[in-house]
Amino acid sequence: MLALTGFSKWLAATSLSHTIQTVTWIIPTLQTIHILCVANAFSSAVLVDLRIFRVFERDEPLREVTRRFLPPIWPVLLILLATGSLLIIGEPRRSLVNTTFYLKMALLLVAILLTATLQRMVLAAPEVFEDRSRQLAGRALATVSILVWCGILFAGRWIAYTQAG
Amino acid sequence: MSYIQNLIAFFEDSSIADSIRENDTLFPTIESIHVVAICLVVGSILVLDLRLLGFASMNRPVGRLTRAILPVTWGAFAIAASSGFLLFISNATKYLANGYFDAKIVLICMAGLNMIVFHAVSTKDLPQWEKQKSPPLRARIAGALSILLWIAIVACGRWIGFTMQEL
Amino acid sequence: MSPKAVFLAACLTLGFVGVAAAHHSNAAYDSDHPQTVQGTVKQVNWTNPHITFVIETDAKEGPQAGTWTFEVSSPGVLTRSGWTKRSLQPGDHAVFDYLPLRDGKPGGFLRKVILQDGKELTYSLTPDEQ
Repeated sequence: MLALTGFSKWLAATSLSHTIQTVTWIIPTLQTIHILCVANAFSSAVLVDLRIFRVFERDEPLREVTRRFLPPIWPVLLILLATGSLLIIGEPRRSLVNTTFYLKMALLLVAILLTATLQRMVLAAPEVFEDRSRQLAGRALATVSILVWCGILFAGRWIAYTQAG
Repeated sequence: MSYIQNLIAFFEDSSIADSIRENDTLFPTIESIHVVAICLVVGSILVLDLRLLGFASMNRPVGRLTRAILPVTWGAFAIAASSGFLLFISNATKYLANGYFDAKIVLICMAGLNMIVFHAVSTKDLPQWEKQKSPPLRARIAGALSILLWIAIVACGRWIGFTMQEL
Repeated sequence: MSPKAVFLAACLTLGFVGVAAAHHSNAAYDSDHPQTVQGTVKQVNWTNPHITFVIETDAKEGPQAGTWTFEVSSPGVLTRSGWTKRSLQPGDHAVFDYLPLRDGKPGGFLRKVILQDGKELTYSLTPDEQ
C-alpha cells in the first residue's frame, strides 16, 4: 500500500503527468474517448449476450453475430488501455490508491476471459449453445457476462466517489 | 417563463431531489445506471451508423438490422432519459445554467431529428438499396452525422462535470 | 440542416477554449503547495457529486481576501470519514487547509478544517500526508 502511494507520488511528479494535469482539456478529452470506446466494447459484448438469449437477431446464426461483434472488441480494449494509462499517469491518486479501481480491473480481467472464451467456443463449434442441454450453460454465461460488464462500468464511475482527493 | 421556473422549482425542491443531492450512494448509483444506458444507446446506434456508411454488418439488409437494433436503442434511451432526469432535478438550476448541459440536450434533439428525417426520406425506396454494400449518399451522410452528433453529446456530457459554477 | 449541424457539432466537440471552470478535476490544484487561510463559512453546498463551502476570509486585503469557494469530495467520502452535513455551518469560523488552484483564482481543494474548538475535520488522506 505504501509502495503504491510512493509510486503514485513519483508518477505525479513526472513531466508527462504535469502536462496532463495542467493542460485543462486533456483529461476531459481522454475520458471522452475512453467512454466512447467503453460504449463500443460494452455494446458489442451485450448484443452477443442478447443473441444467446434469442432476444436480438434470432434470425442470424449465433456464429455470425459473434463473428461480427466480438473480434472488434480487442483493438478497442487497446485504445482503452492507452487512454486509461494516460488518465492514471495524469491523476495517479485517483486510481492507484483507490480500491474501486482495482475492483474494476479484476472485473475487466473476468470479462476479458469470459468474452474471449465465448468467442473461441462459438467460432470453433457454431452449434455449441443450440442443443437444449447446452442452452442453460449458454444463458448462464451470457448472464454473467452482462453482469460483469455492467460491473466494470459501475466501478468505473464509482472511482470518483471513493477517491480521497 | 415563470411557469417553467415554478415547474423546475417543484422538482428541484422535492424530497426525491433532496435525497439524490445529499445521499452518499444514490447519486453515484443513478449516475452509473446513466452511464450503462448511454453506452448502450451510443454503442447500438454506432452499429446502425457503420452499416449506413457501408463499414460493418454489410451482409445484413439495412431494414432488418434497424428492426433488430432500435428496440435496444430505445430501451436504453428510456433508462438514460429517466436516470438523467433524476440527476438533473438534484441541481436543476445549476445544470440549466451550464452551457454544456444545454448543448447536450439540443444535440440529442438534433440526433433524434436526424433519425426522423432519414427514416422519412428513406422508407419508400429502402427495399431498392438496403442490400447494397455501399448505400446511397444520403444514407452515408445520415450515418456520419449521427456519429458526429453522438460523439459531441458524450463530450458535452463529460464537460458538464468540469464546468459547474459553484456559486 | 446537415452542414449546419455538422458545423455545430464540430464546434462543440472542439470548443475547449474558454471553459470557465469552477469545478475542476483534481489535476487543476497544486498538490505540491498546500496553504491555509482563516475565514467564516457563508454557505454549505452539501451536494453530489462535489461538496463546496463558500468562505469569507478574515484577510481584509491582499491575495487572500474575499469570498472563496472550497471544493471537497462527495458526501459519501466525507461521511465515511466522520463528517455530517452539519459539521460545518454558516457562521462557523475556522482554519482551512487547502490545495490552491493552479490558475491563482480564489478557491481550492479542501484538505482539512480546524474548527474553533480545535476539532479537526479531514478525510482519508494517506498516512504520510496527515
